[in-house]
Amino acid sequence: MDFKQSSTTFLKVIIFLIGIAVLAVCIYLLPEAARRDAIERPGDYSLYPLLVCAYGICITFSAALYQIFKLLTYIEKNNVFSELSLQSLNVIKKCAFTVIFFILAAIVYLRVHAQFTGDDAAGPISLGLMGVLATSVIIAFVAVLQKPIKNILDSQPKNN
Amino acid sequence: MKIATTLFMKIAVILIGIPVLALCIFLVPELADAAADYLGIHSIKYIIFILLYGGAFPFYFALYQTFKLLSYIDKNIAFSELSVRALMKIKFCAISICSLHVLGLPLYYLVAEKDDAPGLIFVGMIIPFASLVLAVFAAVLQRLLQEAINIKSENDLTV
Repeated sequence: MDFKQSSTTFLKVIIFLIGIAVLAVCIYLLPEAARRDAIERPGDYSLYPLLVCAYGICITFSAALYQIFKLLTYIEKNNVFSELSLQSLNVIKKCAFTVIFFILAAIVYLRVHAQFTGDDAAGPISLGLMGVLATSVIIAFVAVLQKPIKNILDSQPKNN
Repeated sequence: MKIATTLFMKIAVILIGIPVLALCIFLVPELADAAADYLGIHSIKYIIFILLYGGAFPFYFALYQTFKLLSYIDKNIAFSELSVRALMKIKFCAISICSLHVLGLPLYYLVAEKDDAPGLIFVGMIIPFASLVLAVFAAVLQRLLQEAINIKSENDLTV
């Protein structure tokens, strides 16, 4: 039991740190980038849709982090195999889908923008595609995790 | 649905393996040469080889264990001692990768000292940190799986 407590606490601290990093990106990095862009190219608002996408990704990512935190709490309380954890896994899956949606929106916007201005943004687009791949791996992982939990839940009530 | 997700995960595991192989073949020799040249110590090359290639072995072993775990899930024998053992091996792999890369930290320090770039140490800490997190995650999963097996065997007994 002691080992379990410490390991979940460790994971919780990690989640917390990742959350702080996301918060720092939201309140420092992105506004700073927007400010610099506005100084460099006054009257050019082409960065704003990308900013919207970035904030959307950050918000859904933090929601997923919160759900993972909740899951860790369930593990601590020894009720992982319950409807609650299935629900939070579902929310994590939906968050991942939302992140994919935002990334795809940003890619489409970059493509359309490239049509008008002529500069090709191959680097950010390939980065975005990698992000899509990583997120879909997470979705598959969550789906794989959900299956055994559902199995156990189905097999339990029979005995009661 | 289940077959599709596990198949997707299997493909993802292979896709993860390929870039690491490419890094091992193309990037590591160049990196070792560059570091040896930069620091002016020739023998550092071999230390880098040992650390990075030594880290690649447990990585591939862990990928193989993940592959095995996915096929257990395919065969509906995820709740068995076999998968607990696979998770345990993944845990040990993650721990060994972590410790190998921690041993490599002084090299980052040397380069950072010469380059006057203190941020480099943090770059060097990414891999050990990530593998440490993975190790703890695998440990928690292993513990949960063990509990699930216990629940299941109790159920079987009562039935």
